[in-house]
Amino acid sequence: MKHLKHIEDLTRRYANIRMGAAGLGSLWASILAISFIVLLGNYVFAEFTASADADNSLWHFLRSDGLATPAWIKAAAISVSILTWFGITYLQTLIDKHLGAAIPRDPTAKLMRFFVPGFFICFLLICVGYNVGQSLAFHDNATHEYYGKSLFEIMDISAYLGWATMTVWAVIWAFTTRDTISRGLATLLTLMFFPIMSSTLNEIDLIVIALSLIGLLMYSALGLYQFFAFMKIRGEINALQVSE
Amino acid sequence: MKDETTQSIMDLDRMVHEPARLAILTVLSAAEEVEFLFLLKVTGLSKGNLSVQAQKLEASGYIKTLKAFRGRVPVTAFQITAEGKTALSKYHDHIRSLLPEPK
Repeated sequence: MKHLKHIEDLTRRYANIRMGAAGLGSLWASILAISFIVLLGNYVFAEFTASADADNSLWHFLRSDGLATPAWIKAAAISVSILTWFGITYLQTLIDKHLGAAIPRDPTAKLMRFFVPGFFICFLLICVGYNVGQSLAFHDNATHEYYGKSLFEIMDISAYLGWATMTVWAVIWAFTTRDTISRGLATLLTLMFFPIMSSTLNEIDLIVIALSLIGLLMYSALGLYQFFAFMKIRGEINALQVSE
Repeated sequence: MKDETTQSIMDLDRMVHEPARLAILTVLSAAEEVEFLFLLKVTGLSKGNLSVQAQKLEASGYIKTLKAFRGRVPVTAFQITAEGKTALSKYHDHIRSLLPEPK
């Protein structure tokens, strides 16, 4: 009876921990997103130091210079989400080949609700919505005076294509995975890079990027917790086989 | 009294009572869906025995077999049915009723 209780509990824990490639998915997404932000930061800083305005602050430069988002930054922003998806799929396949899959009965695992509360994503969504709305409504030169010119100032067809690609990818991701951690990561990465496609970088853009980074940190903490729990469960499963 | 107890033991659901099948049902009751490989690792059964017992459970309507592909590799998963859950729960109640009260 005790043994049955143990294997029942082990299965329940494994099903929850296995989601999102046992935490490795969140860590992989964080590494990719942070690498992209470092790349973006380098680009901005290089442009800033090369500009005649280098005597002014970076903040002033961002608000006053008409710096267009290069195509490679837009492409990199879109590919972060796609690479994350491929990475999670690959890692999940490796884990499932090794131990087999177990799908949890409750898809919104308790640990997920604890680490990444739903209201956080909602708040981020509101910020992005506000930002995108503002970009669409005020992208003429006159309003730049008020909102500030930006790094991402040109609202061209590639920005709309970028938004469309990211949205379609997030929808595909949502329909092809059953695990909530992977879906959460898809949402977060999509929201994070939406402002990068938009025309106007204003205060709310920075809030979105900062919030997304906080979100990624929460996912990373969840990922680490999951990974250590996974290793423990793996040990328990191996011990079961030795004892049998 | 003795006869009643004997009868009660005889009434145990034998499909669930067999240790391998009981282990399979217990594991399946803890998740929505479990793959063959995980079941194999956790129950410690041999491939052949697991297949046979799973077939028996499926024939009684206690579990459902799901076939899919992971890339090109076929993957078999199992799901406990509502009947299976009821049978397992009744079995637990039955066993508890047969055991003496803890002192």
